[in-house]
Amino acid sequence: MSAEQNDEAESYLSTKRWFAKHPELGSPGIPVEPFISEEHFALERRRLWPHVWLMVGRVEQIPKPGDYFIKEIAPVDASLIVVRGRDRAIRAFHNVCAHRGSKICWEPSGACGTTTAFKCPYHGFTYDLEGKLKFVPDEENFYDLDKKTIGLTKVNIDTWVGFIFVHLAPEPRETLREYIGSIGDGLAGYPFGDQNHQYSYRAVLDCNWKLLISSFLEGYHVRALHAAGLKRFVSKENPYSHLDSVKLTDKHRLIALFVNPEGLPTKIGEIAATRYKKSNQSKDSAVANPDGPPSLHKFIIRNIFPNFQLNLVMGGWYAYQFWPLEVGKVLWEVRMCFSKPLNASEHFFQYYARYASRDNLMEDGNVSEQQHRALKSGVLKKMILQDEEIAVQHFNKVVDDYIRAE
Amino acid sequence: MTNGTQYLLPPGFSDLEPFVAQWALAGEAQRMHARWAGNMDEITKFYNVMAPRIDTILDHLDTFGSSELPAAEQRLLYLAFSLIEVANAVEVFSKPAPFNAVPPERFVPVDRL
Repeated sequence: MSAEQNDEAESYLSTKRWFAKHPELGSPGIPVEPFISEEHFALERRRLWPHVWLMVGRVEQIPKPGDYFIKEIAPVDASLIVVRGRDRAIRAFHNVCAHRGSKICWEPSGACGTTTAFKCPYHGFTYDLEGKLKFVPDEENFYDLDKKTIGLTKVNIDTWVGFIFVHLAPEPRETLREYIGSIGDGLAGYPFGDQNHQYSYRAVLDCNWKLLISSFLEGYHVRALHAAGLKRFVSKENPYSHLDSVKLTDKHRLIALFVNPEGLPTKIGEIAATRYKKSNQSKDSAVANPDGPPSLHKFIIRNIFPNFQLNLVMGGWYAYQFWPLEVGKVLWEVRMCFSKPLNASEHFFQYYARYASRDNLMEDGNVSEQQHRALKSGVLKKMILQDEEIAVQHFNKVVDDYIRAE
Repeated sequence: MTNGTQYLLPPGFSDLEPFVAQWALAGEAQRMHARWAGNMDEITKFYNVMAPRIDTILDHLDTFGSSELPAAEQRLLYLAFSLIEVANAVEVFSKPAPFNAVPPERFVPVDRL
């Protein structure tokens, strides 16, 4: 056995590696109340969601001036228009007419003209792509209507590696770059935009949004919950899927799940992967990935606070988002993106890749619902966490930091 | 006969025609449902016939590159996708559905988010 392999084997065999490195997190364990309490949910609406940068889409969704999409921000009951202007800048506005508050855009996306742009279906107030009010029907019947001071309400917006983020506060405390910080290291060169062939799923689950997010922040459950489907995340040396590495920033997390290099894929999975590896696209993607070739030795999960999970995988990337609808209900959006398949074999590989994830995601979704149901009984006051669940502790502590901040 | 439109599948794949009605489904949601609703005998039979043929199937379909597939080839591709859908049922779970998973009508493929 080489020295490098020996170090990995030893590190998996050792225990209690992570909490010792992060005394700021205190001792392992988190309260249950934030997952089930209406009061906490109300506090999140006031103290969390308006104070963070929220990922709402990608620049490729609105390539031309006039292109727009609507994003509902459920936890604060906001509907946002995200639009590409004539000057090619991307802007965001509340989807609320200045007249009597009607919702202006009712379709999820579209392409409007570059001069008149948005027309409210109620009375016909019309705004341009910069949100200025351009036309009011029967304007003479208004008293002191100053079109220059009335328009769509702007929302702060910025992009990072092509992901579009909004911030609902009038003046964000941090720029998007400051907010992202070092969790974004190495991603600047990744071809997210080229890998724009997207497969999407939507699920509404009966559990708190933080429960579902927490299920993706540890490998400890893999052995039990995904016993059949994720055998490659455990091995004889690493039977409990101890993490390869953990990175915690002030708000965000990265965990590297161990992947058994000797783990056997399924027969169909192996055929799919073999055919993919022969394609040119496999070489391009491996070069750009800052974490190294995906799924050989580790599977990297980046969790960008509060609700954006980004995984780089073989030939593509996955983005999961979690939007609270109620304290016990979450809208889960799953995006799996690859380069456009150039032949049937590439199409086959992409289908297999997302299908293999899909079965496990459906198991995670189910267990989170079961967990929420059980927590609602109020019997458990505190969750006991082990060392490998440190990212669960960290995420929930960051939520708590926002709740407590004045 | 070499006129593909008279047959459901391209020449050389007529042995797979009995599976077309149940498994050559155009949408991912349809294929998910077919897997969950199928019985293991049907699923296993489909898998055992398709799995040894998949390399030949993909070799044929690859000759079209990224061009739009003719109808017969399109059906063949949908059969290949359904093979993926049943792969875990046969190789991992030994039953149609994953253990303890959210049912497919609640995990919905959408065109775009």
